[in-house]
Amino acid sequence: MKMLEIKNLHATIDGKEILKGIDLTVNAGEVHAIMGPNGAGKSTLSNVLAGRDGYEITQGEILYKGENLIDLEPEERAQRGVFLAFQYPVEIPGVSNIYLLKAALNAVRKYQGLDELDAIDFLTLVRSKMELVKMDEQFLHRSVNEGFSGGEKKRNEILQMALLEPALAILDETDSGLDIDALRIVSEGVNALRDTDRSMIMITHYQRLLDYIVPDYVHVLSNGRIVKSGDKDLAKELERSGYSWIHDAPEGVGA
Amino acid sequence: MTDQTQQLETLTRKEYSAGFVTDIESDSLPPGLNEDVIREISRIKNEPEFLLEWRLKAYRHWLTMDTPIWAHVQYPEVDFQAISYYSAPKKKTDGPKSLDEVDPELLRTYEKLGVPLDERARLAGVAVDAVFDSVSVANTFQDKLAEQGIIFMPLSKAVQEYPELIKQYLGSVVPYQDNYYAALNSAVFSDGSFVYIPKGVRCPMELSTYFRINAANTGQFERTLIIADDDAYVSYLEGCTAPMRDENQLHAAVVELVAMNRAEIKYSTVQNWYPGDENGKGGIYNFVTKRAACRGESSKVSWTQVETGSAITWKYPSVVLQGDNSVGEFYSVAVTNNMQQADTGTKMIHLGKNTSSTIISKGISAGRSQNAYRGLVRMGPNAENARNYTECDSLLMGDRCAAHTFPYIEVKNPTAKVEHEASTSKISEDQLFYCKQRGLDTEDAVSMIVNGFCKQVIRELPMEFAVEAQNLLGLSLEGSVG
Amino acid sequence: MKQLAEIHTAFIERADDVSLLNTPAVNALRQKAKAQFERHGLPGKKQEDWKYTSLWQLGQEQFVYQAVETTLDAETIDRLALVTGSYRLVIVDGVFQPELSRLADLPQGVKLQAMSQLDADIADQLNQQIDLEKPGFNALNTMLFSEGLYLHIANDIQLSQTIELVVVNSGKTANLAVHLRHLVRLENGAKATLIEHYVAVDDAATGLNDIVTEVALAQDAQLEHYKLQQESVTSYHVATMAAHQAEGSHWHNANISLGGKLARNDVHSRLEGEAAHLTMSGLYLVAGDQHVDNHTRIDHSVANTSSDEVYKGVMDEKSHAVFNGKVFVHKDAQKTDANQSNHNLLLSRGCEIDTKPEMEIYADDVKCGHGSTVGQIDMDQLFFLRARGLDEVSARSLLTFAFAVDVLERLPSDEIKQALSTVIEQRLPRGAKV
Repeated sequence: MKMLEIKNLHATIDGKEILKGIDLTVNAGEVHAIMGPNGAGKSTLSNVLAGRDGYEITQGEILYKGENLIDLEPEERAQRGVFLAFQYPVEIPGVSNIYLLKAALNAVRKYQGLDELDAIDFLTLVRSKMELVKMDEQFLHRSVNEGFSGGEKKRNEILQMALLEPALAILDETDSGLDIDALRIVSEGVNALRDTDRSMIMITHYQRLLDYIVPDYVHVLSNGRIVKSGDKDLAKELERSGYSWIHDAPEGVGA
Repeated sequence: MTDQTQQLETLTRKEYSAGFVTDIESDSLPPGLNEDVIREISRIKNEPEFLLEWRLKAYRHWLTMDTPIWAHVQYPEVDFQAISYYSAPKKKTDGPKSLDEVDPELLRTYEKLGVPLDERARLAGVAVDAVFDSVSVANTFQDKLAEQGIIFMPLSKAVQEYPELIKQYLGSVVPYQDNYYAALNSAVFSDGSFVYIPKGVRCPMELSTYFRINAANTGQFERTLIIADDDAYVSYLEGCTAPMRDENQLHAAVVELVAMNRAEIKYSTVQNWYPGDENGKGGIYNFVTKRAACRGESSKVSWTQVETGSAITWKYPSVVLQGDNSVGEFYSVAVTNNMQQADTGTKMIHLGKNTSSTIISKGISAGRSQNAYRGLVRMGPNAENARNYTECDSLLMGDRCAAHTFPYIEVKNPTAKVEHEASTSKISEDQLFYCKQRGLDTEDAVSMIVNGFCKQVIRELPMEFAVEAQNLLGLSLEGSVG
Repeated sequence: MKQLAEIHTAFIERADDVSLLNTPAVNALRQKAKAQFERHGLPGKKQEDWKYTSLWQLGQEQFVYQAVETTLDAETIDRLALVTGSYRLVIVDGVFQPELSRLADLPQGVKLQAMSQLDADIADQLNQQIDLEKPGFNALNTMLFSEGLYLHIANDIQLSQTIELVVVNSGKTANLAVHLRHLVRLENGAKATLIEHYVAVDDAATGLNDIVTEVALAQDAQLEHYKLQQESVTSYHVATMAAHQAEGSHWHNANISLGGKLARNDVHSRLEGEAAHLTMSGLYLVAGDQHVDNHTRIDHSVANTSSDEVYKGVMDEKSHAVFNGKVFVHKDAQKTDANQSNHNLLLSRGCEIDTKPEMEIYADDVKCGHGSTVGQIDMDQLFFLRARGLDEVSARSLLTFAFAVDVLERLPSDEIKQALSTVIEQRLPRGAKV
């Protein structure tokens, strides 16, 4: 089954074109890595997929399970199973983590026509998911991401992903700001969530993350286009030769 | 961006759910104000001579005063001759002896408002005094409280039963000369609650008053007096609603609190008077004077308010810290939407040694509303080692609302320390997007972020009030966010 | 005891004797100001802006306008001036001193003159930045100003040398009233550094200095504008600095207030072009029975402007300081970034501070904040220094100095920073033990 199809996607911010014709197909159960230098358009792509304000889509389409995503509000995408693990998870003072988790889970369940979980079932569920990312229960009662270290914020993102069980997860620079131990914990969490019904897109600058979460496909994004696609060996090649070579690549090479 | 703003705006458009009118017969004085009206109010209430004299002095003083104009609010001049100064539900005899005697229509009103009268009251552990228009209609749990020597009754009744206490304390914190509306209230106040907690007694339950303005063209001028004697403790809750009417209605209350040695009073308000419609038609003018005196050493008074209603709010619950080591606190959330105007804050007057005060104020403005914090922190020359900490944050939703901050800090003691911080910003788009990406719709996301913003204040409220306050915050901002 | 009205009359009577810039247009302005002053007079304490400052004492004075002829030598001026090697315009007892001034060799496009030496009619540049309908000194100043500095810098001229205006009270004439108006205009891309320096030769000099400085900054103009007020503690000083800022301009205003029995400063800027930026720095050190009042107002009138304000004060003995800072964000001034802080150090029993940082905000997409503190010397820091061997008096002075000079760290010019630092060290309140 095709989970996501991006066709000739062009997007601008403040009138400046950042995405200049992206084509990408992700099937159910696949893990894709999108790599590229700074300014290639990686974060724009993840924001456009999640529906952030401020981007204008000038051409192309995004189909998720065959449905056009572009006209949906961010929360409608989330309720349908599109999850973005943020590069910089935002702090929300005064709102406890557990409150957000519960509200988010119930929003998704409501869309699915399920009842809200009662407090006990919810807590049992959350606890089981917290083991996955080795998070202490005290994090549940602190304000969302407030005063969390970089690693704690990223683990919190994966916890939310584990709880919401999305069909399509976009991991935006999930490895940035992580030391090696935190990277291992986060990766184990992500790997545990790999499933034949779940697709993932990992957006990253560095190959490092891909040692821990091995992708099925690797794409190189440069100047708003995917300039090269391959399997996991492409990432290794990038690590050896850096990104400079891609500027020399002729237009239109790749996927 | 524009989408966001539009959505925010739809979200803050709300329906006022307490806006029904109760169909009940009432006795009212004809509109108008003069000495005869005051004598009549006093006669109806069978008041002792000293109280009538006091009312008349207040009235004569009021005649010499001008309407205060310094607040950041605008409204047409109030016609004091068009207001009826007394309105009471019609009653057969002297007043209800028990809940069974209370007009069932009235009880239904309170039920709609969620006031826990009778059994529900006992379960909730809240003793309620309900003030409907001008008179107190039901007062639960008096007997149980009386066992501990606690007096909790309508002020009009206390005047009859405890005239010495009234004579001693009424006007001792807010003298009738204090300000324009306090003078007016002193002249015409109709009823209110009276609480006396004797020495060493910790009031075992939350005491609560619900105020409701029902009759048209009536002003409500209630007066509350709470005295906590040495080592006493009381937590007092006040809730307010009014029906939706096109005319503006005046509410000019006075609240006086006295805390003696080591006594503590916690006063919580959820104010949800009718704010008027989205074009600013109708709504309550809420011009209230609330002041506490920390007379005794180590006494403590804490004001917590969640203000979502009223067309205009003008109130500054204050604490005069006279006793050494006394503590004053002010926690406030003021929400304005549509055409509402609020000018609210506090005064902390430090006179005694080692006195300390904390002010946490959260203002949220939406629609075309005006929301101002006005506060005074004064450290007198003898306030050795006095401390104040103030935090004052404003959140703006929509580009036609306004937020203002006017803090006055006056320090005459070189050992005193004052810290004041304030910020104003828009509701964060990053936070909104984050919540939406987790599946929450805009309304829930805004409500969640706003509740988080107000958490420091909400957590000061007693549990049953906190839940109500949180719901109110969501409701008040419905239609404001995008 | 006299009523304020009596001094009003005294001022009004003086109006017809002012002979500076006697063009019909200027005279018309003066007549209008006279009418306004007759209407409003000097402000009383009921005026919110004058809530904490009483002019009662000033109203008891009898000011004179005829100065005894005085000559000061160049060495005295060198000693009094803040910086060396700058352009200099010297006014002694209200009178311009060409021989003590250094106005030669100005670059092309720079016009720097005493008002009394101007050949052109500048009526259209007067009263552009100030409001005369408000009770205050603006109408009085317009009615009576008799000298001042005129600075105009043409497009893209960047003046590297500092200009110092030295206004001296020689102390030879008791109760001398001096009314000055300064006009500063920087055209597109122009750049300059100006010091307004008010100083007394004699510690017991008396009198009134009433100053209005109007500043107009065109697109991308940059002005570093310092004001050092070192009057005697027996005189009155009332000053307004008001600026208009066009797109991309930067006004760096630093206001150091040390002297005066009563000193009042009104500093106001209107940011009316996008990307305009304002830096306001202020320091007031008072002792004895000095009274200092600083009122600042910042109007963010259009989108994308920013301001950054820090005022600090040290109060000793029976002194009284007032700070009132207003940040006003107008409708549609989106993306305004405004930060303001006011910190105060109280050193002795009997001193007083009244501070009011205000915000009025009519746009939503803004980042505005202010902070205000009142406190005393930190006991832990004091103990630390004493444990390192400093005696208590030195430790207190050191900590007071550190508190005060913090403001100077914000100033862009090293030379001026250094010079001001020396001045402050000398004027440091002794910091009696509380």
